[in-house]
Amino acid sequence: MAILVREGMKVLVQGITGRQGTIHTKLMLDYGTNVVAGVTPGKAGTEVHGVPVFDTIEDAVREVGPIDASIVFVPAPFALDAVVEAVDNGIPLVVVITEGIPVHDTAKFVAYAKSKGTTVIGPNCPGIIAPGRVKIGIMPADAFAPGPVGIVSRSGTLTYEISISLKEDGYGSSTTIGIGGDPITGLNFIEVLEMFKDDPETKAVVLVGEIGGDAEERAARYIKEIGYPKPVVAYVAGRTAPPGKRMGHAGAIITGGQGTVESKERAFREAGVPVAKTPFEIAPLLEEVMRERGIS
Amino acid sequence: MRLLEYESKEALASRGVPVPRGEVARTPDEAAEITRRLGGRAVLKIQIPHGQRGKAGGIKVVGSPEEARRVAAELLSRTFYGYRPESLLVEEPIEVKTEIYVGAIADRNARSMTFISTPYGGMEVEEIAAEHPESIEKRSVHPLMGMVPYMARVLAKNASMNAPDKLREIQKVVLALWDVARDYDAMMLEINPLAVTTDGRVLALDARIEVDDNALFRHKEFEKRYYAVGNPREAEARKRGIAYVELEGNVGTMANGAGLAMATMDLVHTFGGKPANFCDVGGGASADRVAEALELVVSNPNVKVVLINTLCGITSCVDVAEGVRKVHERGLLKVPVVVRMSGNRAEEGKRILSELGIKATERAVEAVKHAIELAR
Repeated sequence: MAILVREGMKVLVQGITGRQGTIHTKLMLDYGTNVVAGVTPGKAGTEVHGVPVFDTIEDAVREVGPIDASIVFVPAPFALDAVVEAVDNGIPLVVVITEGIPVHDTAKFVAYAKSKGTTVIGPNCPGIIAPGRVKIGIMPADAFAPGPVGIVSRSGTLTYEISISLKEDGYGSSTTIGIGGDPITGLNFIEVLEMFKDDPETKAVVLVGEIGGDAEERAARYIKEIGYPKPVVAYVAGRTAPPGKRMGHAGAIITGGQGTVESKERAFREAGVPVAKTPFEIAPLLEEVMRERGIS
Repeated sequence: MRLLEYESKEALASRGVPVPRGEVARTPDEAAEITRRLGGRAVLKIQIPHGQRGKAGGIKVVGSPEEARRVAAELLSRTFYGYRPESLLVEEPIEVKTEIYVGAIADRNARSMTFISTPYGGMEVEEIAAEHPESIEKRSVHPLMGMVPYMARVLAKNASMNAPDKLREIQKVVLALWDVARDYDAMMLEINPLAVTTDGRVLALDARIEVDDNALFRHKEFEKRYYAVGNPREAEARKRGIAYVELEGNVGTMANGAGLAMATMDLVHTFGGKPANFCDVGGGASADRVAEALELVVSNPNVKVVLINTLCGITSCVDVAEGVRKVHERGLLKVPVVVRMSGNRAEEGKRILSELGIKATERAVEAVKHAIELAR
């Protein structure tokens, strides 16, 4: 079992006829993801790579039955509407790829989804993949191999980099989740760590953080306080980022002396979590901690 | 983006927060005229998107229109924290009895706006938190409920400790602050200080609003200045939608993805080099976009070498290589370029680069080390 996703689950694509929506519908289908429907208002009756397109999610559900997960590609000004539509149609998991959504909109749809029992991944994220089984996201398939490592990350490409380097060293992933680079996201590190803790397939966790906020410090405190039962290796990007400047991701900014790499690394070390200096040091550190704990 | 004080005060006033009487002056004559209208005495405040203006001499009290003209001429000709003020806020002088702090911030952990109040205003909120930690009251606002009156009362009650007769007025200010936060897509906003004056008024003496950059599409009135602030290359990048931040080093960097771009700068640092910039060309970039980003990176005169780190998934290495070729053909590549290229169509991309005499490697660390050597 992976976390949050399973093979064969029925996936809907919101914004399926846009450039990104079209490309990634194809790539998800190629990966074996069961994409059953797409929504783009005004495009009902058309198809994208054989996937039927509907005007509304209600129409899609009427035709293909209940949906297990939705992936959102719609432009930022319409993302709030898209997520609320997914939630109102009882979709339990919504993956928001869209970048540049106003933080007040995100706060609203995250709160709304929570109140209705829907899990939101993202926004501004690469999505989720259970290698070899299902991909609801935009990550390149060949960067990921199945295996025992849970990966949770605030970034996209950097996660692929780390996954490739793990793969080269013989480590695959149970589930990899990009929680997103915005200040407010549907899932945070602690929530994902909780899920990995209870997932029998996950034997170790790689946590990829970056500057800004204190989510990494909180995750470190959580690991220490509950005596997290699985080994964790961390990496934090942004050591050379100047304060007060937003580093691409809306959430990657050091403000008032808070959110530095130093503070995050210190918190991890205090929690007994080894910290990699470069993305390529993660694999050797992982090998070390897994050997120490007798996990192969 | 950070609004100027007068823009912040206009926003607050439009939602019912009382502010001092005053007007914006763009010339010394205007400053003199406004001072005259205010009764001959005024406070002149430079309008720049930066705090601690008083410490830098950017806030002056004047006793006559003539003095206002002279001081305004001086303030408008100076540079403060790298900003040349384009205007001054000319306000009535206020006699303060008590200074209070109320503010709010987009709180990552609460996933909502968290409001903060304390009866100690006039200092940076970090200082207040350090000196009077017990004085701080915090409440997170449910995004779908908005600020509810009881919560505003709790915050106001705390803030009004030294002015208990002003509880209702301060509560109104807190409620209005939420309206401003919501209507202006604020990531952060504060009234500091919120003053109780000797004549019994409650006034926002200084105010700051940070509008969410992602929400500027619905706040067109601020967009123009957003694109003009900062170093010319950073401003140009913002116009083109490229994430670019300049540093002090000499190794120009460019990557696809913000995390990878940060990690690339960090690698340069780890192996003993100094990154010149952060540059994320974005996901699925076209050749033209790569060319635009690369042109920005090489236009920084400090750059001695450019390190391109691309791990291609949606992006095609061919587009990256074609982008480099475009800049090369325009004759703009005056410094060596080192490329790490991996993933989608990497072999074809490398072939294109080799035609330009640029050798690409699959290995990030190898590329980083090579770039650092070339920068020396």
